[in-house]
Amino acid sequence: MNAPLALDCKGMNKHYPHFQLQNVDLSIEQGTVMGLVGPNGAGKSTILRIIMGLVVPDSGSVKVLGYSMPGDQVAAKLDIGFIAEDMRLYESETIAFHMEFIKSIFDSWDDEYAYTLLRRFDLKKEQKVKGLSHGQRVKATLLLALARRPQLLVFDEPTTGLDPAARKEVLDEMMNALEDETRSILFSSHNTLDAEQISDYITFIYDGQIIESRDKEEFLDGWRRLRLINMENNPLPDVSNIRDIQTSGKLCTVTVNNYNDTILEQLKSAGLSVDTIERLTLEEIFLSNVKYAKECLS
Amino acid sequence: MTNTIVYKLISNDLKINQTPILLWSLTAVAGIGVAYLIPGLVAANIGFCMLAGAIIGVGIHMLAHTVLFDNLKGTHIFIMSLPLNFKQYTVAKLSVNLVVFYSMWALLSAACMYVTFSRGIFPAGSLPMMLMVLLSILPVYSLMLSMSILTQSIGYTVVTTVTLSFVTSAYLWKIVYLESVGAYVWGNQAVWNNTVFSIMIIQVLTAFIIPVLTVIVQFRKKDVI
Repeated sequence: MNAPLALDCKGMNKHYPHFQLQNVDLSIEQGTVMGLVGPNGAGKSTILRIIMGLVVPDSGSVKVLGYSMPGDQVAAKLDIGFIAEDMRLYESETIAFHMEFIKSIFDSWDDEYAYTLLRRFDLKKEQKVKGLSHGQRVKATLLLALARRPQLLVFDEPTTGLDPAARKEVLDEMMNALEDETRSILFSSHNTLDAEQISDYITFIYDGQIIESRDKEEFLDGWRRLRLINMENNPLPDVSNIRDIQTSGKLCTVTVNNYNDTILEQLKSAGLSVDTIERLTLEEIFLSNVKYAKECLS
Repeated sequence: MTNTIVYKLISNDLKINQTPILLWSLTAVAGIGVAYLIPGLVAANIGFCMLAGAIIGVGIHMLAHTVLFDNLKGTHIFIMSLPLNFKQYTVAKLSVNLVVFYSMWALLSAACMYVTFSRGIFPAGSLPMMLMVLLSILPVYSLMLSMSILTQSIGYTVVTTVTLSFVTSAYLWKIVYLESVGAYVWGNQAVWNNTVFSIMIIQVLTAFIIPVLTVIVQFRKKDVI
């Protein structure tokens, strides 16, 4: 990463009675999308809340758009659009009320874009929030975040609970927001499909620790599933990149991270013959990573 | 920006709650009307109950809708995503509640005193006691508000409110039985002695100190959510 950083977190730690965020390093260069993927309770929301200045880390540094958090959060949040799954608008008020409220705070508010989004999302500004469906509520919140034209969008599980059509609309609009090449997005999800669809970089998190963070293409290129035939039941060579081994009779399925030809040679020289080599989907990579992390932790 | 955002949050809360504030104000005005226009002690009592109900009602409504429900429903996350820090959020929430409640309290207390003593409902000697009763509402509300802001918990706020209602009754009984206060209550002349002044000053100071302490405690909190 050589471009200016929209986000730079180093050594973040946060201790709770039953959960600990441990030594989290995370950086996003301007104009890119980072997907933070992990199971429920992995620490995704805690990271995003630390980034927003809502939670103070016990140690470590957090710089967002060049501002130190939480100290400079007032200045930083002028340029950040934040959406969280548990965030709610004022139920008794209309979308227009919220638009006026946000407009009164942000000089960067773009009225034309806001009305474009209203039409695109099929929302009526006179609608009261309590009358909106979950999908409409998410879209209204997204509108309020996008129309202020922030430099960084931080979304915590933005697509959770949405039907496929609404999910696509939200993801499409997130991508449209990147037309300005200096704008960046950090979003969390436990849905790898979302991450695969729109991310440039992906970070896997499990039990408060980042287990892998890479360029999406590198992720997809780096992982392979090898179906091997082990006719003579030879022991598998000690290859550090092997993440999972499943054996069934003479058939042996090996999942490998950071795949390269040397691994193949090592397996062949151990007396195994290669039947097929398959690429993994992001979901399979995620599950494999989580399984490996669980094994390491236990 | 610092003051602007606090002002905007206050005006936002006022705008959202303008209808209930108006309805409680109308109840209060109706109470004053009943006490002033209909002769007799029964009407006066009904009017004062309506007044007290309006003050308590608007206070609890504001506290619930601007602090407790904000937290319960997740609106505070939306607010905290805006360019403000926790200090500004706390100051805005304290201010909007205190402004609404104290304004209502001041107007209604003035009306209450005027009606009571212009119509001769109570003797002039009861004026210091009535003022102490009215002033006792201020620290009670400050404490309820502070508890709700500090804990963001409906449970703790309800327990505090119920406890305070008992404590305040006992406290007022204690005051009225003080020789330097109780001896003059039914007299024809208001007696402003040191005991009366001390009690009133302590009540006002307590009502002022509690929000200040709340701000100090809130400023020391690390995590907003």
